Amino acid sequence: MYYRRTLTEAQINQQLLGTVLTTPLWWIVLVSLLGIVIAGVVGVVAWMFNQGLGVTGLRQPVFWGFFITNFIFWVGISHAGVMISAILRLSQAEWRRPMVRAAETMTVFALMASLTMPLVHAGRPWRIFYWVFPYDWARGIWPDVRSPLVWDPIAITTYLTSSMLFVYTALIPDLAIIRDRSTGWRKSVYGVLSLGWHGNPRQWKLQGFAGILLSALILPVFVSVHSIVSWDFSVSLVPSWHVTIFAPYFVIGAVHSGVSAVVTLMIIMRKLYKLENFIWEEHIDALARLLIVVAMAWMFLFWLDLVFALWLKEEQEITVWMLRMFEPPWSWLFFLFFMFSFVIPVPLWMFRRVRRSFTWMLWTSLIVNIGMFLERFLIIVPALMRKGPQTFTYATYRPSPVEFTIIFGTIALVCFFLLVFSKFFPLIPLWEIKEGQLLIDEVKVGNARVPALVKEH
Amino acid sequence: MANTQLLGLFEDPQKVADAMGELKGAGFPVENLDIYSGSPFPEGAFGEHEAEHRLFMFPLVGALIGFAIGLLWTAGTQISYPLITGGKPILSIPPMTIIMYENTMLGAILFTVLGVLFESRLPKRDLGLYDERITEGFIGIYVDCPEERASAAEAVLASNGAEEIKKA
Amino acid sequence: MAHDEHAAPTVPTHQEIASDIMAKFQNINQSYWRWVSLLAVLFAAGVVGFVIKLMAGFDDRSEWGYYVATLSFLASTFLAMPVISAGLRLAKANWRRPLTRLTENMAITGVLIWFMLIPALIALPDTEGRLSVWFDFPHWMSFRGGNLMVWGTVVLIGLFLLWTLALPDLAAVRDHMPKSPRGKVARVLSLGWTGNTRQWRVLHSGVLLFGAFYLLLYPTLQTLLQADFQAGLLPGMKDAIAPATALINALQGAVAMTLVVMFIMRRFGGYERYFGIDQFWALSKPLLAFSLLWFYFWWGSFITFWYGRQPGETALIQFLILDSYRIPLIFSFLFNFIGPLVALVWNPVRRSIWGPTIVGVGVLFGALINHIRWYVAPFSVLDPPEGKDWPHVATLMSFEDAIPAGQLPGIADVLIIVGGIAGAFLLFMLINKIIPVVSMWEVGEGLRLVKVRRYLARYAMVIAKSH
Repeated sequence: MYYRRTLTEAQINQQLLGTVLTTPLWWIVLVSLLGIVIAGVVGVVAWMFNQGLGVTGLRQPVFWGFFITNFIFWVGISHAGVMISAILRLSQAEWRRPMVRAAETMTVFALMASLTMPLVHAGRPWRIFYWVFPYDWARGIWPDVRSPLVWDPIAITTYLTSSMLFVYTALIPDLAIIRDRSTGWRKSVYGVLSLGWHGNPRQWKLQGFAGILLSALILPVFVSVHSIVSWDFSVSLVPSWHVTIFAPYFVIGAVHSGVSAVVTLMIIMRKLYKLENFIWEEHIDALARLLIVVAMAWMFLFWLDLVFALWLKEEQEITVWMLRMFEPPWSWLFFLFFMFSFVIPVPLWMFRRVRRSFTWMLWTSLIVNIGMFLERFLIIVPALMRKGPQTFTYATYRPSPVEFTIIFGTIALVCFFLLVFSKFFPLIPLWEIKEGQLLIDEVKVGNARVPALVKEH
Repeated sequence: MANTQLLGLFEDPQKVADAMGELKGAGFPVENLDIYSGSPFPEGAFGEHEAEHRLFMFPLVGALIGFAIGLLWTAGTQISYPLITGGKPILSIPPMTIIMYENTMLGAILFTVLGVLFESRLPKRDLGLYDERITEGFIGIYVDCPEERASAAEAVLASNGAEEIKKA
Repeated sequence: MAHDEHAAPTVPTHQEIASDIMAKFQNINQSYWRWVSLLAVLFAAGVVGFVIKLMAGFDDRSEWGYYVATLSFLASTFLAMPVISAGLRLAKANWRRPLTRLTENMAITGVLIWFMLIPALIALPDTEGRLSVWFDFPHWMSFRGGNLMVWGTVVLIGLFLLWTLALPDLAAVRDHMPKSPRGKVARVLSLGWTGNTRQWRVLHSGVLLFGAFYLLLYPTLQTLLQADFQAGLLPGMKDAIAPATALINALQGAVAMTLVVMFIMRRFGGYERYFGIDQFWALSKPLLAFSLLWFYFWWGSFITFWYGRQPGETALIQFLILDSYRIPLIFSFLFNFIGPLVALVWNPVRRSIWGPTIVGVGVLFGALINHIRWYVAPFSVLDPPEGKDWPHVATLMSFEDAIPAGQLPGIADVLIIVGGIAGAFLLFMLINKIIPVVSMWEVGEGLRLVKVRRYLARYAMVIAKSH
């Protein structure tokens, strides 16, 4: 990582607070378009509630389809925030600075999008609260804490709350900057939000500790969330679901898709917000190298899943895998999933030129997420189609236009939230960038000047 | 004896360090001096007072409270509606563990955030003696001293190149 | 890091460090020979235990459970240490420099481990009619040949990694001790190293490649260990997470062993200057992380079986967790999870020499107990009766009247455990007098990338990363 000191604090403020203090036309256009899309999707959802789940492709024997796939997909994307922010903060990696807030924010909004999916999937979402919310609604009936479907909302709520607090705590110094740049009612609002932040050494020291302590606490939560989602599957007896590897397999898959999503987000942000001074080739290079390690670990766990699925030579297990891998259209989807998740991107990322190219990284990160969506789909649907030898229908699941619309609606929702967030709060943490510049130095070795950092500890 | 407050604004961090050194040398207690900056400098960079804190107690207390809530909730609900599912005992420890763990972590995180705010002495209703240029790159030295020593403090700040000196 | 403005931290020069390390390397004193003798005696006792087992033959597989547990423990601690080196080098952590050679020198134990593998493979029944990852491959090619090949490749790559990284220091030994036997050995092993630009470039590329191969192959070794020596002997055992669990446990064991060996080198070798608070503090964090992961991976397995409640799964839970091997599991729990969690969650404990070391000792003890649970248990399961095939989807109850009881070690088993560990340490001590245990060139490189400067009112260390 080559450390560059390029801008004064005033310049950093001016460039990173551009969309906060002013409103560019492209932002208005994009937000309006996304708003229209979301309004349309809400209408579709309302229509689906009115007509019933029959308008989707869900029917015997497949009752978990696109909605649950999308639920897992967005929970997976949400893992990027903690991966980038917490792990890199704890390991004091300098290159994390421009991306931590965007990643953490994407976590929050991805989790919100994921929470809409079980609600939509239920068909009559108002009934969900009776069996999830910890209250004795009637006749002494409490949520069954032995059910993984009860663990899910608890885990996701914990993760969502923690992530929101994480974002807010790290946002306080930047809220003070905006406070000092604003006038009128905005000054009052940011004044309240910044809690009277002065920036004295005590506050900065505790801000530093907060980052480390919250990172250390949120990491176990991050591991547990997707593990608990995976246990929705593995504690059942559906063939190819009832495997012990699902917890780490889901988590590493989440990290794979989440970090790829961060790459996509950073590249798009760089273009839209003109952040060339802050997001460099070195950052996506570092992310790509991280992705290689994650993808290798993911491949190891995938291979374990496959080998041990066939290990006992159980007939139903083999049937499900044969369906996934060799029977069209599932075999085509399997091929696409494997190519997109691993075979295409990982060898490409071995090349420095690819890792440092924004175009290549954008496309490879997008195909990873397409592949990982297919992966979740292939885990869920074929297994349900061949759940038992006497499954009384061999019908195929075909997602309906309603489901496709709602899935794309969640993508629009997350983009919408991110854009709205960027209107009020900077997506790149100003104080972290400024801190990074203060620590830049160099060491002279012979005639070479090697970029270096001042180490506090 | 009434105290007064001064805020000296500097552009150059080295001048801030020099001014702090002189103020301490002139007998101003380091506890009555503070630094305001728009970005964090390495600890001790200005020779400032190093704050003691008890932040680490907060997550511990929060974790214990979260653990207790999780235990009460899971054990209580299972006992009050004792329904055997899947052949599992009424008080099933493995699923209880999962929910108790989540509550423990939530408690720890909530209390950590509260602890950070508390130890940072936030929220603060009134900014008091402050300047908005601090978040533009200026560094402020805040001095709290008896009135009769204010002029001495002001002289030190001025001699070290303060761009402006504000008084409360 | 000094906050005291009157005392600037000092950075030693490469020459000072090289002289100090070379002086320690050259000095072979009485204390060294006492330790070598003790380890040799213990290793010999282990050989005696092994001979006792050989005389009993391979007909009763349960006789070899503790032997395989010892083999697995050694492979999951000593042989996992080069993974630490490769991983830290990939992460470009500066604090790793004094300790990487120590972890790489452990690759020499692979020689002992590979030879120990041979009787273990003989003790295993053929794969015919039995579950295995070899999926009915002809047995001459399958698990015996396959295991020997994979383990052998891992050991070879580890040795090549060690050799490559040691070349500059071997050249230093050659130049400092030209007439001594060790100097002559170094002359041969250093391959005429002069340290020109091309050689350094090739060294860095080679290290990257060997490190990557080691990182890729070591999980395969753990997969085969779990699949062939545990899962393949337990009817109804279908635990996909087991190899990953074994890998994480191995990494935990490797970090713990690194801490313990660093402490020993400090205390008895005079290497306090190199294995300081920075190294112990930095390693305590992955030790805590791996301890948490220990529980996570174990739980992933347990919760799936507990919820499934299939007859096979219930029998296995009774056997490995709740009944026959409950006591070993409790010990593992305490030493591999609860103890490290409770201790290392506190920064004052992590940021000390004694804290991580004591936790490391506990982790190693817990790891040994865990390996005993993992491998003695399956080896105590009987072969099916005459004429009956190993059922594919069966339970422990299919051909036994009851879940097998836990098996305590015999005298020979204890001798093998002690001898195996002593043998590994013996090899480590011997290699330390061929290849210096602290890498002079890596530490020297690190020193060139560090300077102390005045930062406003304090001193600060400035550290560059080598690219």
